[in-house]
Formats: sequence, C-alpha cells, structure tokens
Amino acid sequence: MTRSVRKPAILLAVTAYFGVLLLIAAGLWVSWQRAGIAPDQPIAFPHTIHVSKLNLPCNFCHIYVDRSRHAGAPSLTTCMSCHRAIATDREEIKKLTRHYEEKRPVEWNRVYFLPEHVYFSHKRHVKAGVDCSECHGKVGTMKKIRRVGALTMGWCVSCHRARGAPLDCTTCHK
Amino acid sequence: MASWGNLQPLSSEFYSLLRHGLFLVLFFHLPFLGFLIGGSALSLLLNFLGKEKRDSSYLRFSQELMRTVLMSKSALFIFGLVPLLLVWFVFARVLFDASPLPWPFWAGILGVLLSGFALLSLYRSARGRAMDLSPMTAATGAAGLLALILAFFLFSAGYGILFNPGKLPLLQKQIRFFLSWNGVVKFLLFLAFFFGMTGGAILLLCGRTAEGGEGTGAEYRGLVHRFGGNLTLLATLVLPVFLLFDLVTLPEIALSAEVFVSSAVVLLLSLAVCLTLFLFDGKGEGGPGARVVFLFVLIFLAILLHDDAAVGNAYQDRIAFLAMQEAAVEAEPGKEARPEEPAAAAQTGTDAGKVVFEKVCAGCHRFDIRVVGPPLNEVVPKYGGDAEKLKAFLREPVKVNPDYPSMPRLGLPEEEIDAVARYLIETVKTGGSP
Amino acid sequence: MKRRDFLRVLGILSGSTLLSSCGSRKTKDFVSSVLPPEEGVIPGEAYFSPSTCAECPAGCGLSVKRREGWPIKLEGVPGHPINDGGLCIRGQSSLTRLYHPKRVEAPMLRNGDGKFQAVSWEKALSLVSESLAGSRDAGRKNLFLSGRTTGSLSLLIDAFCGKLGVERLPEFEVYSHSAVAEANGLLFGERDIPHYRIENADFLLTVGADILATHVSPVSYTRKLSRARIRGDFRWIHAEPHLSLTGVNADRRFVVFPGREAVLLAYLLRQVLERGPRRHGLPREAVNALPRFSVENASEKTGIPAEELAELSNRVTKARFPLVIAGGISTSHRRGLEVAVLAGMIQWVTGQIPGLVDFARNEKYGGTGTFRDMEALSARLSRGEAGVLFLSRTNPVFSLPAGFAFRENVRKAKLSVAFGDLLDETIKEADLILPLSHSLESWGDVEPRRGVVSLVKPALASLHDTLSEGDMLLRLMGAVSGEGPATGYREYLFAEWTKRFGEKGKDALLRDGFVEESLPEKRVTLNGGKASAFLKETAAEGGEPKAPVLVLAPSLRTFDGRSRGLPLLSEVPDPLTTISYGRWLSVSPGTAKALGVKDREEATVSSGDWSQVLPMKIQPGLAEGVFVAGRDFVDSPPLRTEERTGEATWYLEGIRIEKSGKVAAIPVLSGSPSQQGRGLIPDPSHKDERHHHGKESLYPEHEHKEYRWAMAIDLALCNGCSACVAACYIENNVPVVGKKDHLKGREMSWLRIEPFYGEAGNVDFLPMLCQQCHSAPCETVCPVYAAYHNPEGLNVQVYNRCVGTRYCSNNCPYKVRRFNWFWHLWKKPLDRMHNPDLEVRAAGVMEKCTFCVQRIRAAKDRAKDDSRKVRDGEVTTACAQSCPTGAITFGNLLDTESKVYRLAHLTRAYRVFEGLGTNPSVYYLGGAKGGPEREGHG
Repeated sequence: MTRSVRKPAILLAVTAYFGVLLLIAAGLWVSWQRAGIAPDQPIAFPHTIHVSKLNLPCNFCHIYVDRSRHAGAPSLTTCMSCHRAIATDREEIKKLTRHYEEKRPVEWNRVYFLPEHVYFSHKRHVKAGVDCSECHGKVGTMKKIRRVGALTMGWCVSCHRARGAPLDCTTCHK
Repeated sequence: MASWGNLQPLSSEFYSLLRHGLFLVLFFHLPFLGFLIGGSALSLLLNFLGKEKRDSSYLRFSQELMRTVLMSKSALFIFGLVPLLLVWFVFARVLFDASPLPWPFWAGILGVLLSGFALLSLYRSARGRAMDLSPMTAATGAAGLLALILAFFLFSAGYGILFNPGKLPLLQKQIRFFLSWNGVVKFLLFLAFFFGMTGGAILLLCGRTAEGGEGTGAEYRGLVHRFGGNLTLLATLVLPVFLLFDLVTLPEIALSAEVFVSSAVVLLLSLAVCLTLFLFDGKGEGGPGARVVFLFVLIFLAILLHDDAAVGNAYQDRIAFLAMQEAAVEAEPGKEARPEEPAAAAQTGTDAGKVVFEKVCAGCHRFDIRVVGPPLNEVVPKYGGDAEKLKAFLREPVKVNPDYPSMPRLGLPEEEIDAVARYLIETVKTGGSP
Repeated sequence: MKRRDFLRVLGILSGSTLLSSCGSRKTKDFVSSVLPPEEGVIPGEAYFSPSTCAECPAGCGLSVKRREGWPIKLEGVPGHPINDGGLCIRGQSSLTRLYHPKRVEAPMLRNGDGKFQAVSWEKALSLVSESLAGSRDAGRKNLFLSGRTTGSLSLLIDAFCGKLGVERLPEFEVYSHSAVAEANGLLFGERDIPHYRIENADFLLTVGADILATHVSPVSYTRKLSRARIRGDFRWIHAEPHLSLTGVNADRRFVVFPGREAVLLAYLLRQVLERGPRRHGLPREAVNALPRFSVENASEKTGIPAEELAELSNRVTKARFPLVIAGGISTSHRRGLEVAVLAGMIQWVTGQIPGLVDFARNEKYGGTGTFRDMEALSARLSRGEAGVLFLSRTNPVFSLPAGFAFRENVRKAKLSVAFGDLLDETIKEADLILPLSHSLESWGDVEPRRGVVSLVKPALASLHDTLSEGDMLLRLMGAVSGEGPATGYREYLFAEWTKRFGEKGKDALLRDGFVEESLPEKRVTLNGGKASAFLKETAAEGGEPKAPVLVLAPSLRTFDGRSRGLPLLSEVPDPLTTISYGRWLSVSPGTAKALGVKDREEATVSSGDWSQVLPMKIQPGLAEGVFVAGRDFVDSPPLRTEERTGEATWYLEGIRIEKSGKVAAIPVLSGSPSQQGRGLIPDPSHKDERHHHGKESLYPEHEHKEYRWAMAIDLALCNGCSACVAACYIENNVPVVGKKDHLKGREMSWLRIEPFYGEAGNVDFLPMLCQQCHSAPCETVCPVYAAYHNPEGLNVQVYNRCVGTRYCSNNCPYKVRRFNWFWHLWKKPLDRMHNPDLEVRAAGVMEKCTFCVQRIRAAKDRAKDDSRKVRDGEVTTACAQSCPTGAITFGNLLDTESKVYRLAHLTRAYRVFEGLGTNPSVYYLGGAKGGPEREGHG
C-alpha cells in the first residue's frame, strides 16, 4: 500500500469532513433566520419616533403592561387619536387609517415568543421594577423591533437568580 | 430608564473606538501570545520526549523552538505588553465598571501574565545555554506556561462577556456570570488556532539550521516537519468545530449574515490548510510552511472579522441609543435627554388635570420643547390665563401655527377639559416645566 | 453549554431541525383591536358575568368565567337564592353544550327527499308565517308545545300565541310532579309544588323524592340539607323502592315497594294524630276514613321492621320541625295520589304549613302539563287537527311511550317547527328546525321559584347563526304582521324588568344576576271536606305492581335524558355503579344469583310486547325483585298514565328477564365495591391504626415558609353527586377520552368518586384526588425531576419536563396520576373551552391534580399586588367551589386561623393509607352518615 493510493482517499475524507461542518454552519444560519428576530410587521411602526422623539412612556400604548400578564397592543382608536391629524400623508399611516375605517384589526407578527407551557406576567415584572429595556432592549432605537432577550429558560433563570426572584417551577411552568 | 451598568458615561465614539482598538490589539497580540503558548508548550513536550527517548534531536528541536517563539525582550515588550495594556484598558473600562470584580482581581491577571512571561524567558535562556535541563528549569517553564494559559483563559472569559451585553447588569449583581460558555469556547478556539499557527511556523522556520553535522540534518528536518505538519493538521481539524460552537453560544442578537459568512470563510480556509499539508508535504524549500502560515493569517483575520461583526451586532442598539442621546443633548444644551416624570404639579390642586395631561396631551406636547405640537410654555401664555378661551380651543381645536400639524379633536368630557385647562395655566404660571 | 443549545446542535446534525423549525411565527394573538375592550375587561385576566343555567328546570344562578371574551368555566353564584354557589354535574357540563361540535348551526328545512338543508332566517320565518295563516284558513289549529317555561319568556309566548292565534299547550316535562301538585290542589287549593325549607327542619322523611339528584331543584335542596346537617340535631330518613343517590345519603334508608308508601304514611299520620305535635286537627270523618294499621301489619305491609317503624314514628312525633316530602317514584304509580295527599296531610297536621312548607314561594309547576295532556295532544295530531306545531326545548318523541305514537303523529302536522340546539329525536322528526342560542348566548330571565327571578345574560355573541327563543318569537310576530320585529328581545326584557322591578330593581338584576322579591306569607287551610271525601273513596293499599318491577329512575347525569348529548356527562361515571359509558340494568345480588346472571351479562328485559337488551350490573343494596334502569336508558317504554293525576308510572311491572350469556363490555371504573377492610373510610374506632407504621424517611424534611396548601373533605357531607369531577375536567383541560380507553382503564379524570358499599347496603363516597403527599412516592422515582415537591407543599408535575416513564404512576398508592396515551384533540369549537392558565398536555405526558395551582398562582398574584399574604378562603379549587354540599375545604395549613387547619385538627380527621407514611395533605373527615352524633362540621 503506497501513499499514491492513500492520498486521494484521505483528501476525500478531509473534504467530506469540512463539507459536513459547512452544512452545520448553514443549518445554524437557517435556524437563526427562521427564528426571525426581526420579522416584518403589517404596519412598519417606528418605535424610534414614538419612544425616542416623542418620549411616550411604554404604557402609553401598551396599557395593560402593569395590569395584566399581557402588555397588550394598543387599540386602533389610540393610534388614531393622534394620527387622525398627524402625518396622515405617510404611506404607513394611510394603511393604519384603512384598517381603522374598514374595522380590520391589525394582526402583528410576534417578536417575542413563549411556549404554551410557560406562564409569564408582564405585570409582576413591571411591578418588581424590571425595566422594559432589560428584556426588550432599547426599542427607542429600533426602526423595526428586534428580539433582544433570548427568552430561553436559562436566560430567565439567570435573571431570577440574580434578583432573588422565586425559582420554583410553578412560578413559570403551567 | 436603562440600567446597563455604570457604563453611562461611555459615548458611542468610545464603542467604535473600543471595537477597532480591540481588533488591532487582538491582531498583534494574539499571534504573539499564540506563538509563546504554543511554542513553549511544544518545547516542554519535546524536552520531555527527548528525556524519555534519549534522543538529542528532540531536545535540540525544543531548544530551537524556544529561540524562535520567544524572540527578544523588545518583542516581548512590543507584542506582549503594550497591546496587553490596551486590552487591559478596554476590559477595565467595560467589564470592570460593570462587574463587581475588585482591582486586585484585574491586577492579579496582569501579574499572572507578567510572571508567565518572566518565567518563560528564564526557561528560554536556560534552554539556550544547556542541551539537557534540570527538572527545576523544566518546572519553571511549565509554571510559566500554565500562568500564561490561566491569564489567557481569564482574558477569554472577559472577551466572551463582550458579546453578551445583556449579561452586564447581571454581572453587576453576581460574579458567577463572568464565566460564560461563549468565553470558554472562545478560549478553546484561540488555543486551537495557536497550535495550528505554531505548527505552521515550525514548518516554515524550524529545521533549516542544521547545526552539528550534515548527517543528522536530514532526519532532524524530517522529525521537525513531521511534527509541525501533524500539529497543524490536528489543530486545523479541531478549530472549525469550536467555531461552530461559538456560533451556537453567541446570543441571538450578536448573530448576522456577516458573522455566518466569515465563519464559512474560516471553514474553507481550514480546508485549504489541510489540502496544502497533503499536497506539498515535507519537500524542504517547496514545503507547505509559507503557504500554511499565510493561510493561517487569513484564518485569523476571518475569525477577527467574525468577532468584530458579532460585537457590532451585540451593541448596535446601545450605540444607536447613545448616539441619539448625544444628538438630543446637543439639541437642547443643559437639558437632560429625557424629562423626569412631572412631579411638581402633584402637590398643586390640579392633579386631575395632570392625569388628563399625561394621558392625552403628553403624547404630543411638552412644556419646554417642540414635540409634535408646540412647547406649551410658548402657546399657553397666549391665552393670558383665560381658562374659558383655552377650554374653547380644547373643545374645538383650530390650526393656529401653520408649521405644526393641526391638533385633533379630543372629544374629552367637559370636566376633563376644565381640569386640564386649569392645570395647563397653573403649570405655565409656575414657571413652565412641571 | 446550555441544554437547549446542545439539543439544537443535535437537531441540526440530524437535519431534522431544518424542517421542524418551519413552524411559522405568525400567531394571530398579538392584535391591535379596532376598539378598546369593554370597561373592566383586561386581556389576559379572567372576569365573571352572571347568567342562569338552562340544563334543567331548576334555574341555578351561574357566574360565567371568561377569558378574552370566551366562557371557559361555569360556577355557581354565591348567595343565589336557588343554588348559593353550588352547581351540579349537569350545570358544569352545560358549557360543552355551548361549544358542542354538533350544534344546529342554521335554520334547517326538510326538503323533498326528507333531508335537512340550511335556509336563511328570512325564508324560514316567512315560511312559518305563511303556513300559520294557511292552516288557519284550512281550519287547522296552530299549536305551541314547550318544555317548562317561566319568567318573561312565558309571558312573551302567551303574547305570541294570542297575537297569532296559536293555542299554547300545557308545558311538557317528564318529571312534572303532577301527583304532588294534584294533591296540593285537592287539599289546599294550590296546584303546585311548594318550597320546602329543609334547612329549618330537625327531622326529614323523604318518600321517593330524589332530592339530591333530580327532584325539582336538587342543588337548592342539597345546600339546604347540608345546612341542616351541619347544624347537627338533624335526622333524615328516606324510603324508596330502588337505590338512588338520595337514598344512600340518608341517615337511614328503607326499601318500600311501590304502592306501599301510602301504608307507611297513613300509619305515621295516625301516629301523629294520636301522640304527635299536632297543631291542626282533621275533620272527624277524615280521621275515620283514615285506614288504621297496627305497627305489626304496617311493618308487614311496608316491609320495614316493626321496631324501626316504631322508632320512625317516635322521631316524627317527637320532632319539633318534622318535614315529610313525597315525590318522584313514590307518587307516580296507582297509589301516587294517596301518597302525596297523606304526605300533605302530615305536613298540615304537624303544622309545618306555612313554615317548612311554603306555598308563597312555590316552585311554579302549575303550568306544567301531564302525560294525559300529551296523550290528548297525540290524539289531536293523529286526527290531523294540527296546522303549525311548535316544539320548543322538548323531546316528547324520546320521552313518551311508543304507544302514544307521537313520532308518527308529529308528521301529521302541516308544519312541525322545532326549536332546539342539538339534533334529538323530536327535532329529527320536525319539518323545520329553528336553531336556539345557548343560554350563554342569549338574553332572558327565569323565575324557577315564585319571587326569585334569575338573569340570563349573554356571555358571548352567538357562535352560529342562531337566535334566542325570545328574538325568534318577536321576529316571527314581526314577519306575520309584516312590519318586522317591534323590538329585540333585549329591549323587550329591559322594558319588562323596569315594569316589574323599577329602574333600581332592573339594575340590581343586571348587577347581581338575580332578584328576590319579598312575598307576603301565604296562609293555606286544609279543605277538610275534599280531604275526607278523598280518603273515603280510596283505600291506602291495593293495586301494587306485580314483582319483578323495573324502576325507571331519573338519571343524575342526564336528568330525563335531555343531557345525553353532552360527552362529558358520559365520561364522568355514575357515582353508584362507577359505569361511565353505556346503558345498564341494575340488579340486586340475590336476584342475580337466583337468575344465575354474571355481572355485566346482557339480558333481554321485556314487558308486554316491549323489550330491550341491557347488560345487568349487580348492584349491592338493591331490594330483591327490583330492577333499576336509568330513564334515559330505555327507549319509549310502555309507561301507563295514572288516571287521576295524569302522572306516568315510573316502573314496568311483571317484567321478564332472559339472559343471553353474553357479557357486555361496559367500563366499570372502580376497582372494587368494597374497601376490602383497608380502612379507607375508617369509622372512628380504628383511628389509632394510623400509627402502626414508623414514619422514618430517607429524605430530608421539606420545610414550608409561607403556605402549605391542604384540603379537608367531609365524607359525612359528600353525597357523591360528582359535580366536583365535572368541574375538575373543565377547569383543568382534562381530555374526554371515550369508551374505548375507559375499557382499557385509561380514564383521565384527576378526581374520582369511589363508592364503598357496607354490609348494611349503606354507601360511603370517597372523593379521591392527588393527596399532595408530604413524602411522596411519585417524586422520588422520577428520573427527570418532572415530579417534585414545591415549597408550598404541592406535588408539582412539570409537564414539559415529563418524558413519560410512568414510574410515578406505578409508585402512587392512590392511583391518581393519569397518562396521556394519545394526543387528545378537542373537536372545534370545544377547544374554545380551554383554560389558558393551563397547558393542554401532550401525548406521552403524565398529568395529575395540583390543587388547581393556576388558581393559587392567580390568588398569590392578586395578594402580591397589595403586598400581603393570600387570605383564607381567597383561593379555592374548582372542586371545592362547585361542591353543592360544601364538603370540600381548601386552604393554608400553616395559617392556624384557617378553616382547613381547624378541620384537619378535628378528631374525625384522618388521611387515607396513613400507615404508608406518605403524609398526605388531603384530610378526610370520617364518620359514616347518620352515625353516632358527631362533632360539628366546618
């Protein structure tokens, strides 16, 4: 058995090896894209303007954030209270107005997801003095909202640990 | 308001400086450190093997290695310390502020590193003098190496944190968060890179100077090449795996197309390295050394780009935020970027009005500056304290100033209109900003 | 590396993630509604609105738990004059009627080839109005038949019939209690069922009246009964021919053959007259006409041992507030009227009218017709007199004997219009089906008891293209008159309410869900003449049915069969036999031996030319020669109509049984009818056995800081009505798995009622749920820590962590853990019923009761808002909430002030299998019903 025979075999093996690795990398890429950390929204709502320019407090629109487990999306009447007059010429606002006039609710694409077996209450976290930005990042800087917190169990638990929040399974699992 | 640590004073410029500074530092410092760690580790290994096999060529190789990797005191200074202090500055700025780690801890790392250098240079000189070493000196070398590795591990841990700014607030609360999987992976990744690089360097540099008789030269060169080749191959096969793990352990936000592409590039380059090793093995001048080293430089660049992009992603909204703040600060000098919640009016009898104001008006109006509507301190006085006129306007808003959008009809109940009108007049009287 | 990351890599390696991660992120649950939700409604928070249960005529008040606008649970309204917080098994299941997949979703018209096809309301209504006119011209009569109807709807129906020249027929109820009503009419001139104030009695004799399960207003009676029992100095004796849930719960139960009850009552009446607390006398001729029985021959005739009879008469005569209630099976036979009359006379003589027997607040059965009326109707139909025949909320085709030929005669009507929600036998016969909205979809009110008006308020917009009966009638009137409906039913009601109660009253009704008018006390006097005349012309005995008899008992789960369509009610087993699915014929062990039938062996029951095949269930405690089958199990049995009262007989006499030797597959869920001497329900005598095992534990003690949740169940109050079981199913998204799985022993109920039969034929019910053991066998064997002990003393099961080894279940001595063998699907729209506070468990996951941890979580959340601890009574489990007897108490064992703490420290308190040292958190209060005088209840 001489090198001349062995060589191509080895070369092939090595190439295959790297091929697999490349495939995995591709897989990771795909799964990352699928995770959709910044999905397109039916109406391109710019938090930049509303939060950073206008300094609207988060609960100006997400009115349930300190009252319910859901922060809640504002009802279109809230939007229209200003946008009946303001920036009515913009394309997105026109979209909004159409929704409002045709009485079609706006179905946003979720950015933050929790599986069915998780109980999470915005109210509790807000009342415990957790700042919105600690999980949602600086939404004021995001033209399109992107997921900042991973929302994995480890992510939740590490914060619960750090803050001395309850760690019993029933706190979050239902 | 955000609480990501005492990093407040940092400016967006600082972050970009940090990024590029870090890039450069890593670019110069890491390879050096790499050679140092890789080379001295090998030299120690060879020394050991030599003792075992009673084969002088091993010892000779070991000696030569040390000479090559730890070039001169000045190199140690330029590539070892200066950049290190830079890194040190970066970490101290970002991590020290954000973490409960005391100065001594950081000083400790630095100390460990320096002592590592010192011990190794001791070892080197000893190595240079005598062919076979007393176990004592060998131990010195080992100690130095370990010190170096330890310091480097801590360095990587800190480096890992950089990619997960979300952790900084936690880090402030508990030191345990200093260690992250990403940090560990980075450590291993770089280690693999080091050895691969050293291997390449061996192929390139070592084995040429055949002292002590032509006779032994050939097989000595053989040994060296075999050694370097296998080492490089091994490292190159392992390195990509760690890179993938790095992709997994990086936080979602740190990822981006660039990150993935650069990783892919690293993979391809590693493949190239392997192929070169096989295609041109061992034939002296035509040997793969130069190519391998060159490829490894490219790999290193790719890795750095990968990290650079990741850091960029991780911090993008913070940087944007800072930029915004600065803009705001410039816009209204002397004013805070964000107003405190109006508190003054709480004591005055116009609480109801205040509530309405925050519910309805605050969306578009502030007392001090233009938002959507004009600053109230300018417009409200026009009514000269005439609540009725103001209320009339609030019921039926009419466009007054053409360069603002016209105010929508609010359709508030009478009592709320009354309350808010009185509140506005009150607050403007008592010096504007509530 | 994080577990998830590791899995992620694996997943990608196997390439599967590339596909499985395709799950699109477009869930439509993050929505900007156009308008803000109504006041007080917060998305993600449960809120309650009042309504009234329509599953049976009792009219219990409901508080409807809603989430995001969907009703997810029904609860009784505390303080409601009828059910005062309790809700029965049928009421709980009423939600599954609302979301029933097979509801009639639109008006259906029978086309040429006899198939139904959907039509528009306009078409349907115009068709009806045309044929109304048409048949009037053709000289036919338009008829309106409905089930028992009270409140404004009844008025509207009258208005409707008046306006459109429709004849309103007497309402049809299978359980019309007409014998009792007849008797009261005869004696006191009040043809109705009075309101029995059981809570104030100190002695109760019920003759045949199934007051706990189906008689008139069961939840109301149950509440009253447990109030009396909790008071302590109360004794309850029940006489019946068969074995009913009510019977087994009485302090003492006598078996009296149908027709012999009159003897018993006559004997007692005479006793009372001679030595009793007689407040009123009887006219001499009445007294003379009253048959005389010595103890001996009374006992010989009734089959009650002499000494028992003597003791009974002592109790009646000694009692200060004795109450005799006759009804049900004992008043629906040839001697039924006598029984009812004698009972009424005892009530009169003992001076409990008015008082315990209140005619002011009678149960409004006056308008309810009898079997005789239905016979008449059937005859008229057969003569082709009927033009348009309205059939509303009633199922005569199923309920009437085949002999009436109602099915055929309905077809003879020119146009039969059925109002209903599910396709039952009668609706299937109709020409036109007008789909009814569920009571949770419609406005309305009911007046189940005079002076008690209960609100029916929609909790959601109609799921399908249905209308409430009120709206239907109004629109019909509009269609006929041609100028469209004058008003909607809602406006109509509001007007009515304002008229009746005034603005304030109306608002109170809308707020509380009920109004209780104060009524003047009604003084009635015995019509001596009629009474004595009646006694003269009748004898107390004679005409007893020939044995063996088949008693057709009303069913706890389906009432008169109207609730058969609800799957949950077949899933929850019958408490006496623990049979869930299928029909059966109960037979006494003795008779079974005599016939030589095995348990569950199929046999043909026949009487005359009627016959049916039913599996036999050997039923301890049943009298010889008496067979029992649920009223809803037999198809159109040949029931006779009793001449004087028009009441139907509830039994078939002289039946024949032919066994087939074939053993039927019917799921019997209980392992054994007896305790096998394991002291699951120890009488106080073997209390000390609890200590016969050491309690050394290999594991460190759990310590509880703030809470240790515990439950106390008073077995002396629990009557096995299974309301808690249904409540648990709905609260916790427990799947309904069906007969096949039940036969494999794969039922999923987290809470079950175990009946244990004593030698004396007495039955004790043991509600068995997860005991939340302090040293739990299940926790230590879980390889993945899915079962663990939480700091509040719960054995938590982390569903998403469970991998389904089922070790925990194998190691559980109480068999309360349930395994999901399949992915159980809720047919749409039943999935709307899901409680979003709980995960719906996937296949391969073990599930169990955790004391409604979601309710605990909610309570703690509320408490945390105003930074305090959860107060006692602030949080309760679904089972405790629904329990009509209040047998279940839930609370914090660390709080020495709490009710559960007090109960757990009574000497009656014990825990099941204490010897095993599992140290459960569920305390049972032992002491058999009617045992020696006990400590007070909670």
